[in-house]
Amino acid sequence: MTDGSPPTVDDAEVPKRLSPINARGRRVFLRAIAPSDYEQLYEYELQPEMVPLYRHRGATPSPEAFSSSLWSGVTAQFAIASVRSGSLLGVAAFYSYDQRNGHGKLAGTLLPQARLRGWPVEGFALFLNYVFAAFPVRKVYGETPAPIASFFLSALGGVASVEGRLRGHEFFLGDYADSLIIAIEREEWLSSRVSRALLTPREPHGESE
Amino acid sequence: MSPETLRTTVNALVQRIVGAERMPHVEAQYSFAHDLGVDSLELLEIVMEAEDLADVIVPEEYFEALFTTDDLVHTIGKLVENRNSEE
Repeated sequence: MTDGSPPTVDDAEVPKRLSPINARGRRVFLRAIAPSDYEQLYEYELQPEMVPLYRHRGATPSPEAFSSSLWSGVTAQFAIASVRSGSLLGVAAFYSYDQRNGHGKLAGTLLPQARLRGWPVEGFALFLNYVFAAFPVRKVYGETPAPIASFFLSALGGVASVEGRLRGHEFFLGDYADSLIIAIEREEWLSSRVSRALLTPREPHGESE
Repeated sequence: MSPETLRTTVNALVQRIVGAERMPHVEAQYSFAHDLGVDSLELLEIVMEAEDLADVIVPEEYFEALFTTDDLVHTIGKLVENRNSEE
């Protein structure tokens, strides 16, 4: 029986965090992609020296076709932005989501100002946390031409493994190149220190209340 | 924390993450990429652990200049010093 007063909840029963998703890292954060981002992405991906390396593999779609191709087959996609300046650094996408079998594919772009700097990889780490929290996927795949696989592996090599090689699969920079299928397993990722550290947001010293 | 203690502490942290096989000596200086084969994610992990240890955040431009274990020690030391002087 109750005395008519509103029920109280013991503090211990209240979860500290209502969501396992944290979109803010120490140097980067994830945000919705705005139409104003398209122009920067278009200009970068479609430079003559870059376009063979990216999704369009040499083709140059119109700005309109590019905008819609950004979302083709995509289940979740965010902009990666700098905490300090708010500027766009790149994009991370989860696409070809296969619900029945619990997997999907990961793709990403980093703009020139964010390449080879190390710290923007935090954006992909936040995004992997997001994907594994939001969808019941067992693993995510990345597919990359072998000649540029080192970009992918030098970023995420510690948690990624090469699961397959499609020989001479695609015409890439003047020759037929192997394609590598790289996998990141849910358990391996979620048990990594980076994943766990990013799930516990931490403000820079002096910025916390 | 003395500079020598900081160096030993930070290097021990790096060794714990990369393993003693890759980093046999805590006293020595190693290049993250060439000597230890550290990838971007692993470097992020190392930096985040060092940040937690010292209660600092390594700014982007400092992060980009981390090529060796000594670079990390000096960076953390400098950030701690700056923080202490502000307090």
